Amino acid sequence: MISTLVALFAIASAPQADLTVLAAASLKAPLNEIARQFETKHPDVRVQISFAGSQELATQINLGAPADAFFSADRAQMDVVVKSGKVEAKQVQPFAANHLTLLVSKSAADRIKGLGDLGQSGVKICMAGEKVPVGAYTREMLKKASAKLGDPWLAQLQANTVSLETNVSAVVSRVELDEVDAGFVYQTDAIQAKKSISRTIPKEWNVRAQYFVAVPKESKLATSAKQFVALVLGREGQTILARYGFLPPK
Amino acid sequence: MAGLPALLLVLVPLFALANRASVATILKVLGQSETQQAIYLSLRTTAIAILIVAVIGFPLAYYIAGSKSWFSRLVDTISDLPIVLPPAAAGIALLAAFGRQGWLGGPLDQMGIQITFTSIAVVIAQAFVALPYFVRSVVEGLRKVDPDTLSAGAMDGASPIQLAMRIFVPQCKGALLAGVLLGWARAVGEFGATLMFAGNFVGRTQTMPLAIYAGFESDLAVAISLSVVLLVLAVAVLVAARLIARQEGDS
Repeated sequence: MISTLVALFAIASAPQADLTVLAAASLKAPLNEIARQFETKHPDVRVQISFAGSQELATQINLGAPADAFFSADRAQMDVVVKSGKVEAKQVQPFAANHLTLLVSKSAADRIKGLGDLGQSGVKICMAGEKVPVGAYTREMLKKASAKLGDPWLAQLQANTVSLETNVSAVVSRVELDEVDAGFVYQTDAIQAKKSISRTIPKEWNVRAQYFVAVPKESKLATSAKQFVALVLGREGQTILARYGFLPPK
Repeated sequence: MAGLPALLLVLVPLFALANRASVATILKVLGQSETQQAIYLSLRTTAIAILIVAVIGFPLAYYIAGSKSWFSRLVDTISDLPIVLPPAAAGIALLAAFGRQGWLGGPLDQMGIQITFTSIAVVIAQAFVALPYFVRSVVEGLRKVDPDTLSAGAMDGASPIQLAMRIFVPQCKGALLAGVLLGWARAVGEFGATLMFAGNFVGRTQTMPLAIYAGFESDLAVAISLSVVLLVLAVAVLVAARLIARQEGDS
């Protein structure tokens, strides 16, 4: 009896450390699952993840936000924190990859069968801003596609763009709510978007989105943070990422 | 002296903001096309929004001020809702009403009228949040109108519109102006509902607060400069509202 009470007390008073993780919005589902696994293995650590556009997270880190790990959806935003000295370049590791897809709302499904249809007038398109990794990838892909589909197509597509979002989840929401006809998102988002339809972007135009992770220099829980990153890079983490449609880093 | 912490809570961030900005940077940022478009859009949309608020808000304030029934008190409370409703919730609510799948937005879309992602959506979001500030101020003003002049006017056989123009508007000029200024200040600062309901696009829906948010992720100089501009406007509005209130008190 007494020993049970002592044990309960020990659990209740066990010092819990909060591991602060900043992660790209597209990683939400798999990273939450990996975090739960991590907490089972390390009951003394609680993983707190903030999901947003990588560019927003990079700005937060540069402004002094505490972070034990940063998961960026592209190299450019990781380089933002490397350049400011918050992250050592040799700490940066790729851990996953992704592709783009065109997410089309149900009501526009018969009008929009592929990229070419985005050049019709009256189509409402939504994409992420140019600093957002998915937005940067989208522009890269559109540039390749316009070589084949033509500059007038690209100009009309740009004129059809009604909103620039700050992360990929916002683009998904706009399409899922049927407020826009189509949006550019990651393949992994399209798998989870239940109300919309995904239109494949041809391989020759698609881009490979490369995700990177690093433990910032000022992390106060660097040991735990490195264990968390190791879990993501290891077999278990990679299996979970693959289940949500992410590709291996190389 | 006991009030010092509260005063510092307001002043320290504002001085820190002013300290971050230099006149040279602000001028440079103000010269950029995107910044100018944001300022122009904000001025244009808030002017329309506050005009709508004044036109539809005055009759509502008139009703609230003139009636003592439980129903008018309910109306009074309802008209205050946008003050306490979080802007993000307002954004979702506006989408539910005016979005392409919304109650009003759906039929309008069928007729080829689009609300979301246009400057109209910006105006609606601004009017939604500004309305209570205007109504509040005008209700107070109307309650101070001398009942004698009112009944005299009514005996003259003046129509409600004539009554409003001849008696109410001149007698609560100050309250009207203060309501316009405070409502306008709230409209200029509208962020959350605009972002969700109107979207974010330069020149069309990216108002000054949205440009600040965009600047936060790409160019901090833009964010700081526009924040300073809004701070200066806010100070000007407050000072003007105070001056008007004082003049009212004197007369």
